[in-house]
Amino acid sequence: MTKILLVEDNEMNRDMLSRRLERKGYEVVLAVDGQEGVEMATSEAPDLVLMDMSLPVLDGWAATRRLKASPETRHIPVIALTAHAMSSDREKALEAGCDEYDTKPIELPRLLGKIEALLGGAPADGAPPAEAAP
Amino acid sequence: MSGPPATDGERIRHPVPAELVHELRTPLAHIIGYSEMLLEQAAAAGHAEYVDDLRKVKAAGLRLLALLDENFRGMRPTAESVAPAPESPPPSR
Repeated sequence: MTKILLVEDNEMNRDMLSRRLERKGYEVVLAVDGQEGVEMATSEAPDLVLMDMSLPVLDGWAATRRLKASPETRHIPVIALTAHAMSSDREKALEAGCDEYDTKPIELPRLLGKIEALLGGAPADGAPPAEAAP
Repeated sequence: MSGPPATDGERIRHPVPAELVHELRTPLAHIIGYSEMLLEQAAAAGHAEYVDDLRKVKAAGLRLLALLDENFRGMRPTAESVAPAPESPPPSR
């Protein structure tokens, strides 16, 4: 089963997105700040990381830089999640090493499309392919 | 009486609206996301009586989000301005 590490400090965002991803057939592991995210990326070896950017302890940009600097985790795709929608936010996330970028509120079909694209087009076990984003 | 519209530079110098935008967007994201999730579940379980109402909740959330973005364009926060204050309690798991 495809494992996704969701790094998100907001409890409701964490609950909502993890439940929706699990319903789509993904295994979801959770971290509540950037430091824990870096540690869990190493210990859990997820297939992909969904990284909120505004995080306590260690923000998402710094956490992504650490992931991409480590030989153990640099291969793991990272999708930045942020409430902001400015083009500079996208550029900043990509400069930090994020492979993709999405904004909140999450549009699940769009996010699933990005997840599947980064994972080589394979949907989660037992899940139908995501609908194309509008 | 209203003055001339604020320039981008003036908006950047006033962080409070930017933080307010973030504070409003976050619960709106919850309303939209949970309504979508319940909508999927209601549809999958065949509860057609809930589907229309949940669509209305989601549509209202999306309408509020659009209004927020239209009226506060350029007032989105920086990462630093939305970071939790040091004295904030740790988020619950």
